[in-house]
Amino acid sequence: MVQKAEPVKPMNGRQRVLAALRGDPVDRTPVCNPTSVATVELMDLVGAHFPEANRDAEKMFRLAATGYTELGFDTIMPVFSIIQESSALGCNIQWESKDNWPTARMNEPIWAEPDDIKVPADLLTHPDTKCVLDAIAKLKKEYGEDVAIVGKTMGPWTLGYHCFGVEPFLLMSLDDPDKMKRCLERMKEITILFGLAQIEAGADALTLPDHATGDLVSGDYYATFLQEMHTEFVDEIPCPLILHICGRTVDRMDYIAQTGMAAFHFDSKNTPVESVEVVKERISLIGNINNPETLYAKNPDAVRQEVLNNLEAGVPLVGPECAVPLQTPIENLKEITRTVCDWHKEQSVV
Amino acid sequence: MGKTLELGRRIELCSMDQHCENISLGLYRREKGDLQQVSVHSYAVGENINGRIEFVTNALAQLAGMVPDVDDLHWLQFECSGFHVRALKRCFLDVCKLEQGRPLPVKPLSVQDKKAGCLVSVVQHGSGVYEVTSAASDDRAIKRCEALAKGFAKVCEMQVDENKKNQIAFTCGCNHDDLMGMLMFRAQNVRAAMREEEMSATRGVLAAPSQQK
Repeated sequence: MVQKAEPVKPMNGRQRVLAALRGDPVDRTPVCNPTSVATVELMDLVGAHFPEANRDAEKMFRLAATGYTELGFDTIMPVFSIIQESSALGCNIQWESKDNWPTARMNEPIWAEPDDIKVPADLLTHPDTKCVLDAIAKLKKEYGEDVAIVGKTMGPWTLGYHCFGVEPFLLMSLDDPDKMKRCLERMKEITILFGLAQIEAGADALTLPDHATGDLVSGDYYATFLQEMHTEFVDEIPCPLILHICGRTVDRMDYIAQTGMAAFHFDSKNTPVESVEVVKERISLIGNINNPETLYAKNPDAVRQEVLNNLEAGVPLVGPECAVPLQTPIENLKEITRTVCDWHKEQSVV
Repeated sequence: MGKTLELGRRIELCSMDQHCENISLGLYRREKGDLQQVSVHSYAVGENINGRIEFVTNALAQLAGMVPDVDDLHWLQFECSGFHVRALKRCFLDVCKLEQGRPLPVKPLSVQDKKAGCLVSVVQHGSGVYEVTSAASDDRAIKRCEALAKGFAKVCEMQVDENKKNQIAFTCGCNHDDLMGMLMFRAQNVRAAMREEEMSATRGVLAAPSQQK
């Protein structure tokens, strides 16, 4: 947030993002992409298309860089998808085409019992994880002085969906909570290993998506199964962590704010004002421009209004609520950075 | 530093052009004075790209009845000075489905209609007013003409005459025979056109794992 009483010296994107994640003063609100801003037009621009850009380090590097070079964000995020490590674990992946997201075939689960969970020896050398590490290393070398390089390591809850199937995994939480906890505990190792490898490759911060989403999992569930584990991640993974959970999550934000994570990336189903009120500066918020209705389908004026809502509510980092639809117009994404800069100029004049 | 352009607002996107290396083609809108103009653009680079953009632009001009801006031939506008955005978006997506180099005959205003069981025609009455008529005069054909008029009302944002349900009109008060011919098939199959729009709107939107199949 802007500290009017004590002006902050101009910062570059990296300094700005890392300061905001620490809760320190910044020269202006950072524009942050913790998930993905890849679009089909940006793919064309740099000749790096899905699905190859999810599997080839050079293409991943080129497409990711556009978040900074074209859209002016203060972060670069090369891990567009949520299935890189699931692929390395052995899940069957539907890689799709240029204009659609790769997904894990969750109706073909690879595990059913805690003892089934094995961390493969090639977890970090599998092509679909290694490309992430190589892309991060290259981005760090090329842009690491100016902009924050953000990696992504999936949390155990999401890995559970991918590897056990959504329904069996959720039923396990009802039928045998202890078994569920054993599974989560084992899968935790995967999150940590992939996170540490990305830090070593050069990531400044990591997004940790763990889809205990508002539509399927209550706030109490979060407290029972995940809060403690997310707290442990803070000690185990030594860089700022950005927790990402989609949907209406205001009922668990208080728990999330106690984990010690650097930030929570929240969905537009939660208003900026109510979210800021709940977390009370215990954790930075990254929010929360709506994807399907605003960024994808509306115009820059509508984007501007949502950015302003976040800025005026005191949300410390601004960006899309989740991975933007691949058909999102470029002008709408550029409007995020433009609005943030304009708003700060106006604030400094007042 | 950036290579993206300020092209105005993108109003439609063909995300994968199957006739040209799966490039993405955008239809961009700008305002020039009181006029609204559109231009086809792709950020893809390659030897076939400019030719494809030129083909799609020409096809749009010919089949939707648009004319180029005299100062910049890449930008098209309707001669009526109005802007029929919904019809234009549909035309653009249909034009992108045309194979490169294919002849571009203007579509007829009369077609055989299976549901009517006879030939149906769109008859222009001037000032942007069109009447859907059929070769047969039984109830089935009459109802089909009214349904077709409704279809045109949806895909072209036309107004249906309250007293004559098979008659529709463009609000600009000008004739658009080319547009009517181009979108005849869509008006005949309006539900399929709407379904295609809905499916297209959800493609490329990442769902949470809990929402995926």
